[in-house]
Amino acid sequence: MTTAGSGSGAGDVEALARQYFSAWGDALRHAAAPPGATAGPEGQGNWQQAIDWWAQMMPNAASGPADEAVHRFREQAGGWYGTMQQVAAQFAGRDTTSAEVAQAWRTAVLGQGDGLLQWMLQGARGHTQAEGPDLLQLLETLQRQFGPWLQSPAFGPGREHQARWQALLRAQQDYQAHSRDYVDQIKQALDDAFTLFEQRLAEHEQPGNQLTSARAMFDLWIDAAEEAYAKVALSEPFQAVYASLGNAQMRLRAAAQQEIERLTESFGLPTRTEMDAAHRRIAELERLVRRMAAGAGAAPASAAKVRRPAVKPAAASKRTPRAAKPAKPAKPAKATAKPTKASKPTKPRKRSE
Amino acid sequence: MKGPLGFNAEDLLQETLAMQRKLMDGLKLLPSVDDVDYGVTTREEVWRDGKVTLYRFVGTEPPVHATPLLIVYALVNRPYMVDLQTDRSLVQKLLALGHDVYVLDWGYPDRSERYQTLEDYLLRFVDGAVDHLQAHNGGEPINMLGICQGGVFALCYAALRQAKLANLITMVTPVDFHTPDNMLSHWARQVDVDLLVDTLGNIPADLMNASYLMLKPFRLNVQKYVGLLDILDDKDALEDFLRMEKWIFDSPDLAGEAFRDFIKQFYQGNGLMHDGVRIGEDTVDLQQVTLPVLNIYAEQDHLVPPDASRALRGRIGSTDYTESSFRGGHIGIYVSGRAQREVPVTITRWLNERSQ
Repeated sequence: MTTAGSGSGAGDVEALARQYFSAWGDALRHAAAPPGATAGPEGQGNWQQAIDWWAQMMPNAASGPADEAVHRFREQAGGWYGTMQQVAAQFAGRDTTSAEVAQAWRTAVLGQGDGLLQWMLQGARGHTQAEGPDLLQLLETLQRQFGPWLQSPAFGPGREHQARWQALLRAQQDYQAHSRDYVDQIKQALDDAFTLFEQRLAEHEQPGNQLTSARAMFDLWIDAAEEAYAKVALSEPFQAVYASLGNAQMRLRAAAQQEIERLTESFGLPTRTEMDAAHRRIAELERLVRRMAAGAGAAPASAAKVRRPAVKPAAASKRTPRAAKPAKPAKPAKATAKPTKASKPTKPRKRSE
Repeated sequence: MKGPLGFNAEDLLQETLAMQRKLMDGLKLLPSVDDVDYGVTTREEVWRDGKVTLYRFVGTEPPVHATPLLIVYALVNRPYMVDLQTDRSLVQKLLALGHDVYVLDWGYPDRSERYQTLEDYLLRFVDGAVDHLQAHNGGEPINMLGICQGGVFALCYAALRQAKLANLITMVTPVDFHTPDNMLSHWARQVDVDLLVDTLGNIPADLMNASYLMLKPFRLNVQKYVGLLDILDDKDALEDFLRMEKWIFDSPDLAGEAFRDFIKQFYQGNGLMHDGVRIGEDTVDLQQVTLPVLNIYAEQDHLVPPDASRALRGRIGSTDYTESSFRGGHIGIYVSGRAQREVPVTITRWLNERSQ
């Protein structure tokens, strides 16, 4: 993570932060001065900027899960929560109605286009991996550059190749169509959520039952959004759209993989199909051996009862149960102080979608 | 003020200033939080087959109960959830109550394990581990605790190899996969799982995680992270949060053929409700499960709805069936304070009643 505070001591970072937040606080106080005054869009901008700035100020020491959490906090707190603060500021200290507030919230969210929904929609649009190859973008470029050739009837020596590429692009177009259907479902859920939010707000109109903070408004919105989404997600149309999208994505991916295999094969490299065939044979053989061994009443050779101790067994592992037949603790292979990384199998690198 | 909002500009200002203070605290605290540790109980490897390892947990006192208790966990997440941290460890509580606790760790399957089937998982790995424990328990049957998908495995295993088990405990285990509130199953119903597995080989963890997050997208992707604001000044709470994040996203890829088997037979075919599950060459008949069964479900479980678990009642051959409800969700049943107080005690009391 890059930081604006790199090279500065922790004290410098804190001083800078205090300076920044102090200035922001002054601005807010100024905005709050006249009763009923609104912070306006710049109020929300300040909030988002503050979160962005805060995340950038985070020293490099914040790494691993903390870094990821900061990233997500920056996205969601800066976006959804910041927008809710903006809406709350519009109505602070004055009479209003549920319909008015709900409409302002709808306008604020939709006014950012898909901005606040990116995290929900990017998967459906094929952009699933930040660091991986963007297959969809690659195919779109291909279609632009070779469009006429790929649309024309295939013939001649390159006929088979052309036909395959045409099929690949058809798979891409099919996938995009299903992706649009999925996005429509999500937007339907969002639309229903706005309606439900207004109803939930109306339940708080009685004095003594009013919402007392922007955070309470935000939590109410989350409840309404979840409820509306669940209704759509459990519907028959969603089930069909979800499956169609997944299936279309797999057809596209399978077609792309086929092309990659052809390419690697042409360079004399082993293909995934060949590797899979070998793995399948090994699995089948192991299964056969296990069945035969089970039939003969012997344990298969692949299972090791116990590994030889690599280190002196811990005293704790020599214990025996206090009562009845002891659950013999088998010759301990190794007593690990903690089952942490040292004893954890290596996790393979995650693959791109 | 009339309307649903009962705050003025000064209230909003104070709310924002309070958040600023939290952000300031976070700026100091977050960098001091190292990569979180997890898994607190000493354990020793006692058996291994390929990447699958059987661990024995080592308590501070020797076990009182002679019969080993084998925890069979799901394939989709890592089993250290049952031993996450000192004050959130089902394992530690069970050890303290005198049990001899083991867990089967599936490891992280890679492409070479793509062709492992449910038969391999049940009749090779689970059965191999059970054989090992039996051999060290004078040939006596052992107790099994199946959790979530591991509970489904445990039920099937009990139907096929009942003589090797003394008692069976299932926790948040789906039996009826087609209850109306089961969103995951609803989505899986029309997915072409053959195409999926043939294309992907193993099922990537990222794909599974994305699906789980979309079950409650606003709560799990938005509200949870905004909630970080509340704990930015609390190192312990921050570490708890990050430890949970670690567990949630530390997911193994899933062996393709086992995934295909599981989706088709359970999510799509609802096989346990129709006696239609086949493991290798054997048919699973739940009527063959005549051993004592304790079925623990969570009342607010969004992954395995209570009705999905409660469907076990009447489907097994056992006349000794006990149901226990837990007030909490699918994760809370392992890690909440209530779970620490209630779940191990419930299990122990139930087992004790059957060992006399």
